Amino acid sequence: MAITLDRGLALILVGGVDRRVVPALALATQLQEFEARAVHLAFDLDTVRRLADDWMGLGLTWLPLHVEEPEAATLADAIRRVVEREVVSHSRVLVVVPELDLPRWWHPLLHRGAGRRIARHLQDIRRVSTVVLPYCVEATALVSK
Amino acid sequence: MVKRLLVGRPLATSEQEHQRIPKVIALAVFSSDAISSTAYATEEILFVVALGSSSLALGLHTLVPIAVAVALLLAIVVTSYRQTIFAYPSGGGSYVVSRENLGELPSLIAGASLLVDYILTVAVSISAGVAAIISIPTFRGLADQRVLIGIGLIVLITTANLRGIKESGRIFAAPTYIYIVILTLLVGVGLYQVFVGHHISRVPFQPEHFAGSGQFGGSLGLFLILKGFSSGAVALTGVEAISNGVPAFRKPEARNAANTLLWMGVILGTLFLGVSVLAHHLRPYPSHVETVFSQMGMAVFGDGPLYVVLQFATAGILTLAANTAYADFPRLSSIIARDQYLPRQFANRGDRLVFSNGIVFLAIAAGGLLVAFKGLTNALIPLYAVGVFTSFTLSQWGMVRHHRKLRDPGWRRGIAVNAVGAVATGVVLVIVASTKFTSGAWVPLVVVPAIIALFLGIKRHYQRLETALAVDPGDIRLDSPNHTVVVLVGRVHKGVVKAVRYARSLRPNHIAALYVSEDDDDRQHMEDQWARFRFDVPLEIVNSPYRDLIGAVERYLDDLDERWHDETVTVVIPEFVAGRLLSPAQLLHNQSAGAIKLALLFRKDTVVTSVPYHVEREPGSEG
Repeated sequence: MAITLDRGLALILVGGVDRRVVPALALATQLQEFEARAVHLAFDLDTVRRLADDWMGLGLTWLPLHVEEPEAATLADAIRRVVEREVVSHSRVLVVVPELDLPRWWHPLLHRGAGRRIARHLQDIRRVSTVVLPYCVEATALVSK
Repeated sequence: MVKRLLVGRPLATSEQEHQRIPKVIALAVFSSDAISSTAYATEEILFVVALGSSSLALGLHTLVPIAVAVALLLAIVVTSYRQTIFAYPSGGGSYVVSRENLGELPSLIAGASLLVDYILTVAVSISAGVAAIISIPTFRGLADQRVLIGIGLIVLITTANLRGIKESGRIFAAPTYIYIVILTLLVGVGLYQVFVGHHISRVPFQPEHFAGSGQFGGSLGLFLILKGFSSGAVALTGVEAISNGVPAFRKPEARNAANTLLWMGVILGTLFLGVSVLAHHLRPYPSHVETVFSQMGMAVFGDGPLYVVLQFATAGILTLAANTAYADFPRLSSIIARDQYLPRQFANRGDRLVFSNGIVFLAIAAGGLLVAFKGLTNALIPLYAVGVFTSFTLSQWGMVRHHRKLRDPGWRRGIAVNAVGAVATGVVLVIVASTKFTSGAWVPLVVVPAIIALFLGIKRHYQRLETALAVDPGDIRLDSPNHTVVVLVGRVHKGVVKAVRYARSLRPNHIAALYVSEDDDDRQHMEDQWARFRFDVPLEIVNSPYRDLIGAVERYLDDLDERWHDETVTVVIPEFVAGRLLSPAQLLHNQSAGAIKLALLFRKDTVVTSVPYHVEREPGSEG
């Protein structure tokens, strides 16, 4: 079976620059069939400023960073709006969501765990796939040194 | 569907400006707690100074001087908090002022005290409201259902608040204003009768209902007077609410909030003083059978419709005092969460632009107290007076430091106002803590440090995580990791074709399709199908004679890790999307996919991707 692919759009969701986005950035370089773009939803201006500084400081300018004003109150809804807008002009959209994989049972109480929620929220949009990229934090990294 | 019906449609972030409230609604939202205390503060004083070694006559004689002292304290606190509002227009009240000027520990003490106070406010107001409802003769039969009624009221107020502050304000403004009007009428008509009409309808004394022993004689020591004063000081609970919620006001926020606070102070002070002066003349007595308020209402209005309105309005305002806590707790917890002392979820706005996690948490905590105390939460009142005055004192002291630091025009006057506030509220704190220590004021001394320890533990977790996640340019390797993609197949269909195409597009180092077979026939059938479609992806088949799909997939992935030493394994699952997310068809098709996703959720370095295939809407897809 011959498989031909149109060029799609890959949206790498970033909240800030830390180790959890590294696998997503590495994946972005592999997605040659996609036009890759980092997307940040600007709920908080201080975070936007910090992100922009880190993005430049770490030399990530090879990947365009789009700061979007959220059109909805919740992160999942705001991302859905962006994806619905982009899917109109692209053959398919791949949404990459970096997420923390934490070692203790109570850690989810302290973290939003938005990745899987976003994936569920986008599931019914045609021509959209979501990748939740977990970054595993070892228990030893969270004890006092 | 149910959520939309109860809570309403989602609001866009751009609508946030329209969610701000005008002063008229803000007064009802943020003042119901403070103004509701006029319904019980006078009685609280009498319960201390007219009983024990004292007498009703001595108690009534002391009532007005104590009320004047409380009103004076109210004036000092309102004046001080007006300064706070102008200095910190982004809200946060005592917590933010303490954080900016006094440091971490004082701010956490203020934050913990206020959060506890708000939870107690909801529990106490709801149970007081229920008590007022079931004391109306028609509803006395509901006394056994007080917990259930209380929980029902909490659900009602929670739902209204989840709709947004503007809507809850509109819903609950009317009862607050009805209470203010009827109480003004009670005080106005009563004092007119006393001073102009010279006709005093004294409350008929019923010794069998009097909570004390002697009506005359007795002695009133300084300790009892101070204790009475600290009981009356509960009238100040809720005064700080406006300074916490400044951002909820329409622009100019600070000026509107400061003016609303002034109005609240005037209304609260006037009504409280009026009720106390009237009580001095009408001579009601503390009783466990009928409230002082009810006795006064009966004396002034008789048992006509105005008395009934007074009773219903009192029940309404006592219940709605909880609404002030609903306006402030979520806002304060969001600020504390942004500082990383509470889980981040508290800083999230819901789709109605309110901090819905804070609202739900407050409802659960207050509901828990209501159930634990079987709906009788009056014993909790001394607990929150300590918290309130702790946060008042810290806030005022913080403002003194603020003025000294900035030295803006008028800073000397600012220092004087806030220093007087700090000393006055500090003295009251000592009085409340010492006179009510055995009545429960010791509890905050245990609870608040425990909450602070929790705050610090949460902060420590976030800081360690931040260190663990810190990244520098050397950490960002953009060369491809050793990446394997596995496509799970159950049978060959259009969804599998799409999933294989997607898997290829990831350009992994290794790619395989995985099929879990039940027996040799099944295995042969799948191999034939795969060959017929000529996929350019190798099919690997593992046997699972006992149909343990998840175990077979996990064992296969472990084998792959050993075979290719992967840094990342992506498991691609073709998934049908048949209509709505929770439709029967959807559940029927994707049970296995859901179970596998759940099982692999915590598998290290494993990415699970669903490739949706829209059955109804993609009829022309290739395959």
